[in-house]
Amino acid sequence: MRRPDYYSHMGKFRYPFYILIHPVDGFRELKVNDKFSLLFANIVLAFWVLLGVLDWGYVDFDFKVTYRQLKGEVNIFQVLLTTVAIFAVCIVANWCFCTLMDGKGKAKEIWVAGAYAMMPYILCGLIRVCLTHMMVENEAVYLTYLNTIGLLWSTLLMFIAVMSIHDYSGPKAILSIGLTVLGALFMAFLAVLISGLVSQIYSFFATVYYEIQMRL
Amino acid sequence: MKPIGCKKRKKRPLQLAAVLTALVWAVSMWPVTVKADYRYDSFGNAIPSQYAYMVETSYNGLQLGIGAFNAPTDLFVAPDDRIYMVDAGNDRIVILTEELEVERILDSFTLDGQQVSVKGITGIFVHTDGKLYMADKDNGRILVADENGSIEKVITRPESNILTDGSTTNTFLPAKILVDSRDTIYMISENSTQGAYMLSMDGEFLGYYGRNKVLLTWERLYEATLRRFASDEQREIMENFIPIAFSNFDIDRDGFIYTVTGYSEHPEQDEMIKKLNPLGNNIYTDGWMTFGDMPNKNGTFNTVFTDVAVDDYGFVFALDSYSGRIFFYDNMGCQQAIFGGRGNYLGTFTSPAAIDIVKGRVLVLDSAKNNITVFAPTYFGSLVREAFLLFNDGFYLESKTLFEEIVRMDSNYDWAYAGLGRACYEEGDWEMAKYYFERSDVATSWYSEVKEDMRNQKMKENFTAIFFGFIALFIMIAVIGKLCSAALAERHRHAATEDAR
Repeated sequence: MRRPDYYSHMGKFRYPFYILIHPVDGFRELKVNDKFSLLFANIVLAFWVLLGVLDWGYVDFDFKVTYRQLKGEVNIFQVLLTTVAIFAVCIVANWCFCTLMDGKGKAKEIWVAGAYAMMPYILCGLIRVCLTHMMVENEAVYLTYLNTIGLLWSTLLMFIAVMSIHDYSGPKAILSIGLTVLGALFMAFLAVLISGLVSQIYSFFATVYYEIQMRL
Repeated sequence: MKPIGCKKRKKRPLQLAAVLTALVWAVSMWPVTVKADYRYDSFGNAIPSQYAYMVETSYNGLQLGIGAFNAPTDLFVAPDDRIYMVDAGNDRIVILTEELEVERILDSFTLDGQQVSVKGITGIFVHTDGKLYMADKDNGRILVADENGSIEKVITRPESNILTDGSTTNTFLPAKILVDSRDTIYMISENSTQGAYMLSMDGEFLGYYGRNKVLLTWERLYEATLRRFASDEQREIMENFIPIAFSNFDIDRDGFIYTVTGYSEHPEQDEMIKKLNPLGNNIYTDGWMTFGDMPNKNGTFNTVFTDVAVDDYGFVFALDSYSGRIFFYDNMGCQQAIFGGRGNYLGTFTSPAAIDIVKGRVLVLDSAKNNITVFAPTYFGSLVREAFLLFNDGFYLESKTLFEEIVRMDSNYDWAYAGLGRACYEEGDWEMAKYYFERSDVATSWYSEVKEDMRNQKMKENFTAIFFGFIALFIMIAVIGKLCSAALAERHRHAATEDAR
């Protein structure tokens, strides 16, 4: 028997916020009744990039701690690399492993569920960046709390998302998350290897080219 | 060497002239004179700075007309601004006036009518009553002489329960010496890692003073764990956890003793320069204090301080024998300039041994070049001195024009920006204060203070608006919540009836 659909009246842009507070029901519904919006997921990721930029260059001076924050030159490619690129790599790794481990999720569903799960972290992060302009050094601990809350909430959502999307039990979900991290690291390693190789090949051909140019 | 792509041409006089002109220009632009002093910014990067101190002259024995110096070991400026130099190789002590003219030479010291050699003297101190306190390392004793060279007192190793026999760290090898206003003798004995010896005038041992700490690091923890399982023979060859002995010290006008440490692996924590109060506690404990050069790219720390000098205003000059540089700190222990260097030309050293200050000029004794080099503050250096004296005493407004001038000459001076910000803060120009604190990179907590004040003022000014705004917001949220929940309940009921049908 089909479960009664109490959520059908909810718009696709409102549903993710329902998931934040009812993750178990929400993610199950997302999987069973295809209640997801790729557009909304991508907007969330865009906000993540925005958070990366704001956190780098637009935190108020007394909350700048890292060298790159104090230097203040935002590099958008580095921001993309540390947010969306890592996300994409993790999604691909998760999809690869879970396909082998009898996971039920499709790549699109994993992408969307992952993006939804990142929402608390991004929200808290944006609030934190705004608050740095009002709060002072002595109150920094509250902002740390805020960040930690966002991070823990997102972690919990991520765990439930993996469980629901792939129809896993708890331990298996934990195992698959661990494997995902390993897979992502492996992919990063391969990327470094390939980029090194490509640059060497490039420099080889460039040298040959210059040599020929000089001789002619 | 034949340059690539150079084609043969006929020689023409005009071209030759052009080449010669270019050559002359190139030689005149050769960067021999391009050498900048440096400082560290808040990230620990070395940044070029203006010269704070410049070399004035140097004197060797021949220039002074008293024959060449031979391996001098120590230099001391007495309270009456006379300069005492231990010319150990020539077995004499040279006394110079503050203008570096020879006043007297003490070359015969007598003890009970017998001639005493001062070849083994490595440290000298002259007390306010004109008595000379000399650390005779070769003979393991302290000599106290009057100004004519007759030795009044000899202090040898005292008897004490703390100084146990047979331990190598307790041999009495006086290397450096000073006496405070209460006539307590402080003596650094070579090999002693427990700190300086405190001795009374009668040669009684009063205790150790101000030893360095042994810091717990992961490597040491690992070593300590290994030691627990090691046999006695293995323990013999393992490294001991003993504090690093400090190499030299100086006493300031107020009786604080500044010590420097020769070598340490963990420079930031190990207190390379310490300012000790009479209890022997270090009062240079602020976290941002780093002394000496930063570790190089391999992470090795090379600074080896051999001597320290404090002037009447509390400015500290520490001499690094590894790089030949002099590190200049203000009276709060904040690095303000680095000058000097290693080399064979004027203003550099090959084996710097001692440093002291006479009338604002810095004297450095080189025991291999056998000369005394004199540094004098430049216009910029005297600005820095004056500005930070005012600033550290709390005269922020008075120091503002000085800081403006410093910033005009060296726009990288982060502490000067902090000073400017502080002055603006006192004036009530909070926007400018915030700007300067942000520009300085070192005044984060002051920036926060200004921000808090600005926030409080805004809150006070707009209190009614904020208060009623909050109330309005709460009412609005409540109303919207009510409306939404009613609409939701309606839809739920609708959905349920749909489903049932």
